[in-house]
Order: sequence, then C-alpha cells, then structure tokens
Amino acid sequence: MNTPLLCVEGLSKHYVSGGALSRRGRTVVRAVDDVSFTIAPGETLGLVGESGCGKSTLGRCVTRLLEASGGKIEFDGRDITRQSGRALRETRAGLQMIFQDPYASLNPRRRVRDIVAEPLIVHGRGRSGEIRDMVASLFADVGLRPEQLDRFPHEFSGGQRQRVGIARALALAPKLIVADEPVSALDVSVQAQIVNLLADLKRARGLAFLFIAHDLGVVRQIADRVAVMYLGAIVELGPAEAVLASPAHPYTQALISAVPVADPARAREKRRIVLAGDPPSPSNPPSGCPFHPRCGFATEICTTTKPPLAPLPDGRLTACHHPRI
Amino acid sequence: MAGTVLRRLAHMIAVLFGISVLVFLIFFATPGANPAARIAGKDASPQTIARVEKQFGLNRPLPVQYALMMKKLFVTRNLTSFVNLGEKVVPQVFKAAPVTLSLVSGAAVIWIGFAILIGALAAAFRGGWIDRLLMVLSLIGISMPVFWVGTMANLITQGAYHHTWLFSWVPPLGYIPFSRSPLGWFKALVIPWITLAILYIGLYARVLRAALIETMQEDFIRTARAKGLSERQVLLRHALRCSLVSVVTLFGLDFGVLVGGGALLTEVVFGLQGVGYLTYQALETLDLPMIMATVIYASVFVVVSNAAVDIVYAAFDPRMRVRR
Amino acid sequence: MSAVGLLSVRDLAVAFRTRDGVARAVDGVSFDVAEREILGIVGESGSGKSLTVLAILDLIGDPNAIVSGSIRFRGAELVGQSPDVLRRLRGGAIAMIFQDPMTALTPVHTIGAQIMEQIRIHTGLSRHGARARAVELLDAVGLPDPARAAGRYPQELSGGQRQRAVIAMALSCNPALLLADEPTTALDVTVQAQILDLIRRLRDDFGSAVILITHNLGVVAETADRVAVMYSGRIIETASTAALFADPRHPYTWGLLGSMPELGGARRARLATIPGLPPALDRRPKGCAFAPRCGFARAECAVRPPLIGEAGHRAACIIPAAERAGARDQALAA
Repeated sequence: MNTPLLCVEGLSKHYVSGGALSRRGRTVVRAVDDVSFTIAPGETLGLVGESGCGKSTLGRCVTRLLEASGGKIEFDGRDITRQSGRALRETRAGLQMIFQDPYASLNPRRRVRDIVAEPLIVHGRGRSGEIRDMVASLFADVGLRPEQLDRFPHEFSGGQRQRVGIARALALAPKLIVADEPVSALDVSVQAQIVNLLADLKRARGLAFLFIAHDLGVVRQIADRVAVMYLGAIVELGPAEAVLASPAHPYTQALISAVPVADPARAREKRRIVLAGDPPSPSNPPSGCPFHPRCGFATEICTTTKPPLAPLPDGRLTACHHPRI
Repeated sequence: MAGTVLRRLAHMIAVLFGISVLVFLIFFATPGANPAARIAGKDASPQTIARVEKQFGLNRPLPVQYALMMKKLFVTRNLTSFVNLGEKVVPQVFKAAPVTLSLVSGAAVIWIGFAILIGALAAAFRGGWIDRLLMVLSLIGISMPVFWVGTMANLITQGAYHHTWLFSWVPPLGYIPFSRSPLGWFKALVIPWITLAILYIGLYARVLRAALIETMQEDFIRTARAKGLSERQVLLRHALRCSLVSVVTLFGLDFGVLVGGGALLTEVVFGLQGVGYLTYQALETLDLPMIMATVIYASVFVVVSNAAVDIVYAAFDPRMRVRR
Repeated sequence: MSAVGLLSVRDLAVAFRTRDGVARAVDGVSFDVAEREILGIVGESGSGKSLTVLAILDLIGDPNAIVSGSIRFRGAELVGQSPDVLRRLRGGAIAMIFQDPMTALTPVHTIGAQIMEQIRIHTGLSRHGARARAVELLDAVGLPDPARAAGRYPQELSGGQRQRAVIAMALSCNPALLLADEPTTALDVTVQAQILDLIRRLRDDFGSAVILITHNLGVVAETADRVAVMYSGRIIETASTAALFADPRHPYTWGLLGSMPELGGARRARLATIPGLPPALDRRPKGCAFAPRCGFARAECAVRPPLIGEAGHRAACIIPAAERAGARDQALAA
C-alpha cells in the first residue's frame, strides 16, 4: 500500500441556506467537514454512519458529482478536485459509481444492452461489434444471462437491476468504484448475492471500492478498512476487524451495540448502549466534540475542544479524547 | 415576519415597475406607433399633430414622459385621459373597482363552496354513477362560454320569464352599490355571480377530485383508517385539507386575474361598469393613461392575491411554514 | 405457548383478482397470538407478511382483494364482519403502526390533534381530557418535552420522534393487540434500538400483545417471543424464538440466516445465498413453494408439505429429522 489510488485531504462540503438578501439568518450546513482518507489499489474502504452523517455527500464529492467546498481529491496520482471537461471525463472512466436505487439510475426506456454499452460508446472503446462482445462478457461477469440483454429495466427484479448497474459501472474497467448503499434496498437473500458478486469482482479485477453503507454487517463482510462518520466528520478509521470487534470511539461502540443480533443467546449477553435522542443538526453542531452531548464518557475537555483524528497504539485513527482502548 | 412583509413589498414594487415600463414601451416604442397622430385623429394636419405632441408632452424624452406619467398617477393623481379630455383616470378606476370586486368575490364564494362539495362527493363515490354524473356536469360547465351563459340568463330572467314569480325580483341590468342598498346589491349580482362561477365550479371540482384521489393513496390515510375513523371522517379531516392546496394555488391566480379585469365578458353581458369594462374601452381607443391605470391596478391585485395565497397556504398546510 | 388465545387466525387467504385470474398473495396462513405475547413474522418482500396483518383489520384497501378464512379476536370472527364493528376495533382494541413514520402522519394536523382524534373516537373523553392523555402518552413513549411536542407538526420531528408519536397514538386506547408493520425499517440502527426497546416495554407497561412484522432476523431475535417465517404467502416455519434460532428446520430459514452478514463470529469468505427468486404469486409451484430454489428438494416436494413437528416448533419441510443437521450445516456453510 505504498502509493494510494485515492487520496482525499481535508475535504469539505458546505451548503449555505437562507439569507438571500442579508447575511443574517443565513446558516451554513457542514455536510462534510474536513475529511481525509486514502484508498490503496484493490482495497475496499467501508464508510458507515447514520442518515445525515454526510457519507453519501462525501461519496458524491469523490466522484465529482458534487463540487467540494474545500480540500483536495487525488485519484491515480492526479489532482481531480477542480477537473472539468475532457479531463474529468477521462477520470470518470477510472472512477465509477453504483447507486442505491438501481431502478432510478437506469433509463427505463432503453434496453439494458444499450445502457451497459453507452459508456463504451461515449469513450470510443471499439467498433460496434467489439462493443457488442464486451457487453455480453460484462453481462456474464455480473451473473446475468445473455437472453436478458434485450430487456428493459422494469423487466428485472431489484437484484438483477443492481447487477445491470454494476455491469455498467464495470464497462470502462475502472480502478475504483464508489458504491452508495448498493444493497440496502434489497431483500436479505438478494443482498447476499450482490455482496458476494462485489467481493468476487474485487478479487478478480483488483478493484478498489469506497463502499458506503449503514449496515455494519454488510460492511464487515466486504471491507478491508472501515471509516465511521458522525456529523460530517470521520470519528474512527481502521482495519475492519479491529474497528468492528473492538471499537475505540464511543459512537462506534454505540452503533455496533445497536445492531440487532440474530442469535437470542448472544443477544441476551450483549450490553447495549442506548443513545439518547437524535443526532444534532449539521447546521448547528455542538461545540467541542460533536458527539459529546450523547456520549457517556464526555468530560470537560469534550465540550470545548474538538478532538483531532489521531492514531492509537494499534495504528487505527480515532477522534476522541477518551478512546475506549 | 416584518422581513417577510418587506421582502414581499419590494418584490411587488419591482413587479409593478416592470409591468408599467413594459406597457409604456409597448405604447410608445412599438414600431409604427405614433401616439400623437392617434390622439389627433384621422387625417389630422402635421400642425395639429405637432400641437398635440406639445400639449401632451409627447415630444419630451421617453424616460421623462414615463416619470411624469407615474407622478401624475401615483402622487398628484390627476392623470387625465388622452381620449375624453379632462377626465381624470384614477377616480374612474376607483369607481369601477368595487363593482368588479363585488362580482368576483361573490362568484368566488359560490364556486369554492360548490367545487369543494362536488369534488369531495365525486371522490367519495369514485367510479360510481354519482362520480360520473358530477364529472360530466362539471365538464359541461367548463365548456359553456360565459358570454353565452350570461346572455341566456338575461334572456330568461330579464325577458321571457321576468314577469313570472320566479324571476320578478331580478332588478334591471346594472350595478347597485352595497352602500345604497345591500339587498339591491345582492339581487343585482346573484345572476352574474352564478354565471361567472359555473366555469370555475367545473374546473375546481375536477382539480379537487383528482387531488383528493391522489391524497387518498397516501400512507397517512391508511393510518387514519387504522385509527378507527369512518371513511367520511378520513376524507374530510385528513384528505381534504391536504388536497385543498392545489385549489388554493389555482384560486390565487384566477382571483387576481378576474379582479384585475378578467371578468370582462361577464361585466359586459350584465352591464356592470367594472374594471374589465374600463380596460376594454381604454384598449379600444388606445387611451394610454387609462390602460396604464387599469394595468397597474390589475397587477397590484395579482401580486396581492398571490401574497394572500402564500399566507393561506401556510394556514392550510403547515409544511409550507417549515420551509425557508 | 398460546395458553390464552387473543387472536386466532385459521387458513387465512388473501387473493387478488387480476386480468389473468386470481393470485393468492396469502395462501392459507394459520397462527395464534396469546395475551401479552410478541409474535414476530419474518419474510422478504412479497412474502405476504404485511397483507396478513392488514387483513386482520380489513385495511388492505384494494377492491380486488378477496379475504377468506377465519380471524378470531377474543373469540369473535372478524372476516366478513360489518365495517362498523371493524371500525370500532381499529385503533381501539387492535392498533397498528406502519413502516414509514415520515409518511404515516397527516402533515396538516399537529401530533397532539392526531392522537386526540383517536382518543375521542373511542372514548367519551372531553377535549381537555384527551389532550392531557395525549401529552401523557407522548411522555410515556419518551418524546422529550411532550407538551410542546403535542403542538408540533409531524414534519417538525425527526424520524425516530415521529415513530414514537405514531406508537403513542397506537397505544392511546390501550390496545390488547398491536400490529407493527416493519416499524423500524426506515430508521437508523441507534434509533431502531430505541424503538425496539420501547416495543418490548409496551407489553410490561400497557399489557399489549404485539405482532411484529420484519425482514430482519436480528430484530426478531431480540424482540419476539415466538416467530413465524413466511415464504410466498405461507408460513413455512414457526417456533419459539429460542428454538428457531437454536434449531432452524426449514431450508428457507437456513438461507435467510446464511445470507445475513453478521457482526459477531468469524468473517465468512462468502455469504450463503438462496439461488433464484421467489415464484410469482400466480405461478406458485403445486407442492412446496420453495422447492425450485431448495438444494435439498426431492420428488416428495411436489406435494405441498404441511407444518410438521411438535406443538412448539413446526416446519413445512419433509427433510427427516435425522438428515436435518447435516443438511443445515451444508446450507449455512455454502
């Protein structure tokens, strides 16, 4: 892991709302606030957190679907933060995205063959015969049958549509795929199929993933490292096993303890940390550590000073004054 | 709150300025437009035209003319007609406004009431014969031209059946001010109200029915049923309030337009000297001061009723309050 | 388990008239719920689990739906009952909460008004009394500052707060049975944990029995006393929660357990999956509906298997008890 494939430094995305005429009444929503991480070639970084924590916004900034307010995104050695036009198009060939709702992201009036072929045609990756073959082989790779090529998206089930979305993302042979909640709309059994498929593709093609999800079990299954977000910032980042088995940040602990366990025997011995209330609004974050009002371990310093994302002895990073290790 | 009002006001002034400039320019800067020649009349000599130009100030630069006209309209209020010389414009509009307001407000009460009744009934019996009958009737209402309905109403109430017990109470065509006789005012306006309302009853009933049927598919309707409410309570307490928003939107636009002169045909048919009538006459003679006055008046109403709609919105639907 | 029957459902079927004939979305479902019992119904989308509970209160709301079979609540038959009788039950003795708290409340009325409305339909309470009770309920479900919350509109609350308000409303008339249709699916895990805690507490504080519908085996494991697993409109396994997770007997249950990525234990190289898709409702196989996807299907599966086993644990599968453990290990390992 010497040269990272993706290097994000101090990335921020702020939205300004209200106050069209005057400065008063204007609020700044810090959806993503000073986030840094790297992804090595072939590595999967799981990005977890609850709704509104900024994980989707972060994913969209990385793929340049949203313009970052500050910070730097380096992909494959090039700074892509302000890229546009042809350069951005070329970057996108190596940096694709998969979405949560495969139905909304597929044009309902086009045959899936054309949907998958489109990026190949746009990037001029061959003559029509060659593209035909490429699409057929992509279809095979994602576990769809050749006779399904000429169907329309609505003729597919949710899981199959997600396969089509994956085939389209794979068409240009990207190095990194940003997957935004790719399995959360699917039933458990179908979800397992897609998780396995992504794991296979990762192995076979050396793909790197930024895997955004709220389901910690799914993330554990697929991610090498995990980043936990709370209120626009990463609060813990480290190897998946370490973070999920022995979380250091109180928020990660609470998050993990809240996941219901499908085993009544283990469920009973589990100690649950029930968080009070809801996450605060990113337009009006608490002072100091953003988690301190809901944290059972907060002390004086937590209310005044925001803890930096600092390494622990075992190498993982955590943003906490009192890490639980 | 004060900020909102101020912003609204600024917004309104900007709109009025834009409209007045536009009307002014259409009148003066349209290719081939020569106001002086038009005022001077057919086959006027160049000298007459020149005199007219001087007399009406038409030889001065356009911005100055515009400023003068606005000053006379708003500050000194002594803007006079180009056609009926010496006749002041502003009092005319103020005389016509109550007529139109009376006509449109009364009609609005009728059309909103009936539209809600018909729309709710149709939605409640969706697919049944009541629904179909009401929708056919409302379609007929929409399709009948208002001047035809008005003429027919006049033929019946003023002509053929005027002397029967049914319509002997209908006064002759024309307006009776409320201050002179409230009952007379009411009698004089009932037939025009109904005439004007028919189209809108049909339109609004159909819009409301569609909105209600859509709302009845919402999750919260299922919750309301699960609470043990009867179908009627579900429809009236939960679906109707949410569906009225679409009607309120329409109403804001329609009301503004009608008060601003859109009720012209009804006014003409029933001999009501309202704003529509006034605008119509001014347009016929291309009487700029009068056009300017009525247009400004109309736009004030459109803007004001739009603002009123926003307030009503918030009353009907708290979702609007949360936003911004 | 079901010593005192509160609800007894027998051979419930929900069919839809379609252009191509009749599709049975719920196909002969029977179960009991005892007083103060939490029954979890687990299944994937299209399994008929939601329709089953909607049928109890006749809330399916589709003119093409035909409900048949028997639903007895405290001994009284509900299927074919008059709308008036059902209406008095709804929100009274049987209350329901729905999946998406974002859309489950009418946006134009305050939370308090919506709760008061239900209280006043079912009780003779005055406006004033109903308001006091509404605030009391909002407090009981853990909404901060309940008096103020009562005056708020749904969209002014967060998802978790709204679901609490929905639950408060459902509890307002002390229901003997609460039907909860995926009450935490739309919520974040930490909020889900709060709501599940609340539902468990209901039984103690309010004495309500609960039917909890979910697709999440973890939610069931932590909340329910008994579980029924549904597949393609039928219950394919039912047992006490402890027994179901200790000794799952139906291959579909194995498939569900195997495909669930877990936080504990060793990370599996691959998740077990169930190949293929559930059958279309109008093209359900004659015998076991799961057979086409089942790795252990055999000739006998062409006949629909009954629920077999002892009283506390029954499964609709013919795999003999002797072979079961081996097959299960094989299924969960895949």
